[in-house]
Amino acid sequence: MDIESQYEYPAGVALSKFLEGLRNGKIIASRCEKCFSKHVPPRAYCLDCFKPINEYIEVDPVAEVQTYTRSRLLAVGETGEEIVWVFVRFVDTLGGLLHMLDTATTPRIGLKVKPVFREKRVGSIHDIKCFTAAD
Amino acid sequence: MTYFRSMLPMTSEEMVFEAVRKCLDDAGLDAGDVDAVVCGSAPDAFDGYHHKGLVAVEPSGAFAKPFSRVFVGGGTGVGVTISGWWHIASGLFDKVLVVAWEKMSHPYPHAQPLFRSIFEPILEQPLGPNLIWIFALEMRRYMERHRLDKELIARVAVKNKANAMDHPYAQLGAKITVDDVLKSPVLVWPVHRLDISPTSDGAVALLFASEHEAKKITDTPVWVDGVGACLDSQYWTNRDLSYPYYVYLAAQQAYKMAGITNPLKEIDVFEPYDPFTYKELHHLDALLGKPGLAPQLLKEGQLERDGDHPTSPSGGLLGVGNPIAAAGLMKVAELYWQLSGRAGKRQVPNAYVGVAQAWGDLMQVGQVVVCRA
Ligand SMILES: [Zn+2]
Repeated sequence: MDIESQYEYPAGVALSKFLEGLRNGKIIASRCEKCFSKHVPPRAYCLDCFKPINEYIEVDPVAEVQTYTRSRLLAVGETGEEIVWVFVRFVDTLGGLLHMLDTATTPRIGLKVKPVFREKRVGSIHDIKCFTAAD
Repeated sequence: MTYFRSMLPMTSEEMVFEAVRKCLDDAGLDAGDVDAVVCGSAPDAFDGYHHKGLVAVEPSGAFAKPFSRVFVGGGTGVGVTISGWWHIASGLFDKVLVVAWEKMSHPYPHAQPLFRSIFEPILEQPLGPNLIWIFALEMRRYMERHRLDKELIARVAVKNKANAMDHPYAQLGAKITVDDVLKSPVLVWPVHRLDISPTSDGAVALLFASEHEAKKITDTPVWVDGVGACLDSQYWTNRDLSYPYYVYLAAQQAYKMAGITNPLKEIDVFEPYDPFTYKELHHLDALLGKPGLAPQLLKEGQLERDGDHPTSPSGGLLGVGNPIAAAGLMKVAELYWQLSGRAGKRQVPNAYVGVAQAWGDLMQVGQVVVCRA
């Protein structure tokens, strides 16, 4: 049996703010008005206070590597080169992003990194080309 | 239970029937004696049937009875156990059949790409994530926190595959060495092929009965003494990957019910979920409530079947196989065999109290059951 089906997902309120930020070369967080916690990627409600969030702010584009892996495998198929995939969390925020690390940077847990934005941006996670060492 | 194999030449329906029939025969019962059925199977996509729980209605004898399907991802095998217990504990049912199965050989060339849709669609799926990445990221973080090397972690595969050699239904029982694990291909660093449990087909069934009915069925009943379930955030990036706190919380619920305050001292058999080598240690840390203790016990040889804290004496998912929902229930079945003294060559001496745990979804489900002889 073969089934071919396409799916289209809306980014929603909070992630649309984030994607708009990426298009402008910025990292956008949501901030809870009650507990002031910041979340990247942004959320439409606070997981702790269980209240809606209406505030979105730009944060410093500096993140810390929480962990990393190296892989040629993708969901389907392989990449020619081994890619370093990092899980980074922006300083002073909750959550985090999965992305790749540039080949010149040696991965390490605790390493401070920053996003490298593409010149032509469209409002997608691929607007970030990769992460690189922050200094 | 059925054999766990990479490809069983049976349909899901036939596998469920085989496991259920064996279970009823063992209990000296027939389908008509059962009041309700709880079934469990992981994503519909594996079987390729929509609403696939329904294939279990007839082969489990559930026709014209209360029937439900429990689904908590990889945690389903212990999730069905907890639901079976709820049924009995409610007082509404005296005999409840619990059955779990998986048929992972339907999708080709492999079940792996089906996991892609587990990732968040806007920010993660566009990167093309392979399911193993998430485990590699977690394993690396766990190794960093406790300064563990791969040689030590590989010993989990050596132990569990050796234990599985004594399991009559096992898929991958084998005598292997740490070197074999380290020399097996790196799939996603630091995960090697032999760090991972196989994809499997298989089914397991257990009968739950109220106290007065259980005593009529067998002289050696095993009692469910505590259950616990806990779900963490859907966003894996919200967690500290080095400690499964949600498993800890689920275990604490079960221990509170069972009156257990010192799990290391009071529990004789541990069956933590081991789809990957490091996951056995990661989960055992949480079952013991002490981050970093499990690798220490492994190093000292205490997790061996003849050690002080036998862990996965069944052979686990790494050795017996990993037909997702059935794998979790296999761990509960092992507690039954161990605590009733029927584990044969796998028997752990003086086994009175055991804990089984399963885990799943995007690293967020903790399901725990404590049993007592
Ligand atoms: Zn808040």
